[in-house]
Amino acid sequence: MQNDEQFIEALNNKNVSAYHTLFKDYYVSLVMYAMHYVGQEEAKDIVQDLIVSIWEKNIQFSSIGSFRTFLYTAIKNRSINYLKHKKAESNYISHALHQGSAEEQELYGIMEEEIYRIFFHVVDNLPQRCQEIFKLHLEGKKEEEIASLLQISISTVKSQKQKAFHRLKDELGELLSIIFFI
Amino acid sequence: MEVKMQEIIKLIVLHMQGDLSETQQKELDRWLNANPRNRDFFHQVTSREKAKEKFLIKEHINSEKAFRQFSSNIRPARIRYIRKISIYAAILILPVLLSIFILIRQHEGTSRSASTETPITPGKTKAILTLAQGETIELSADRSPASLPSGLHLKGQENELIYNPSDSPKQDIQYHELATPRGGEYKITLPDGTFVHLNAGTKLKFPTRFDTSKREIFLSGEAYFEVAKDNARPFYVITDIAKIKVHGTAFNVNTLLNHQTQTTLIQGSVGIFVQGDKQEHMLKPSQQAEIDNTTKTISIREVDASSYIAWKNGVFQFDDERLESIMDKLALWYDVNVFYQNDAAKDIRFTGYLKRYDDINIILNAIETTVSASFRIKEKTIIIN
Repeated sequence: MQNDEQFIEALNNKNVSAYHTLFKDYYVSLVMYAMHYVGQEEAKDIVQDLIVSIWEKNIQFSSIGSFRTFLYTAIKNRSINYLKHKKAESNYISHALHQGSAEEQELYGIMEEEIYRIFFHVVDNLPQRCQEIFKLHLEGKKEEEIASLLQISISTVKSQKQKAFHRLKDELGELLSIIFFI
Repeated sequence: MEVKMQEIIKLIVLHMQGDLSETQQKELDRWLNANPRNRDFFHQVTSREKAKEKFLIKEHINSEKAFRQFSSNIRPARIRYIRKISIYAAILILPVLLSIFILIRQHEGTSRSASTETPITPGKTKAILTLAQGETIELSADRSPASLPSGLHLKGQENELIYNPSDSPKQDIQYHELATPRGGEYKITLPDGTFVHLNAGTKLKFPTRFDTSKREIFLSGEAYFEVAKDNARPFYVITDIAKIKVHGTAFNVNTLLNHQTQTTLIQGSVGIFVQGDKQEHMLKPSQQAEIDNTTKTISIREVDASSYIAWKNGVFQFDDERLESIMDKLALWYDVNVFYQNDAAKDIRFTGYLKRYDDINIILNAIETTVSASFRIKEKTIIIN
């Protein structure tokens, strides 16, 4: 995809606005992924440190797929190493590391974050009202409930939902060029 | 696996949106039915509680604030410093600036960066072939030897060594040995058509013509095999510890590990005999047999076989692997020594995909970025802290 290639090239060239895009599109999901292993505050630090070190070490990426794989893998490694260094939480580590096959858990974890990353990306780019309706829809609310909650007509709910769906469809193609090597 | 995961993510997103076509629904059902844990994951990830939780957490994670923090983190301190003093004393400070600049340059010169010249290079196509009378021939990709014994030739860009099928069955059986040094690899096709790819630090001894009843070769080190089918003559790979009986197949054998002899089956079937034991342990594809070199006990487990043959495709694939084991592999391939300033670093674990033909600095940078270890290169030694 043209945009992806440009984004990766700009990242490789240490373009600050590409890093801004990195924060906008990935930061929330990466923090959430780290939260599978550590608490929210530690997760934020781990993600921040990783991105700073990508910049400082001038890490080069060959494609959007390997870029995403790198991010998730690095977050996992850093989170686990953080836990290992924190003796006090050793009980939690053994718990976190021994639930099911580690590899499988990791795969599901990445899938979860990628699924919601797509929703977040779409929602962030919708008009305020439309965002509200789409969120409520994802939370399983019926059209009537949404209408009464926001004090709007059911037909407005319907049309706003359609708008969100169309946007989602356009974005799906773009967002799904993911290559995972797990 | 890669494509499939992407497809499943798409199907789940479409499902949550309530917009699945009939065929897509069937596809999703097939995945859900494949594994009960897939179904658990699906129910959990699409639940309204999960969606609520996700959007709620999102409210507390401010990516703009994080970006501002990032921006202030990356502005190099010395630039700010220079800018500040230049405002106050631009003229006086010029010589100082120059010396700061020189100091910085010198400082940078001592730290490791991708441009640093090191004598360390990735492994190359090279090996030494020893003939029956002890004569040796050096082989490499860029240089062809003046002459080769009859029945042998080199093929392709990498000078793969090919043994022609022997025309005269009367000919004596002679043994040749192909050995790769540290930092070398080599590919060879044996007289029966069997293909072997030798990793670094490996020796393979084989006859120039196979016996009529069986095919036997001797291995120490690591090699990947694609054995030509010949039901009349079983193929045996013999190592110090094990004898592997091959029933037409592709597999990897590694005797370079600290305490084990490891056989990983890709396809077909092999049987393993611990030396001195009559019992055959059969392997199925994607199974791995590990024989403990001291106790001679064998254990068989399911593995992701592709990760054990990644090396032959020019990739290091590490899956939650200990740094010590990773460094052993790098040391063999780049022909370097490894020194640990801190033994605890040996237990750090790393997962990742790295290219075997990359500069060592690229490899070390990638590992350094994801784990808390730092590397320094001095001559041909990697120092780990």
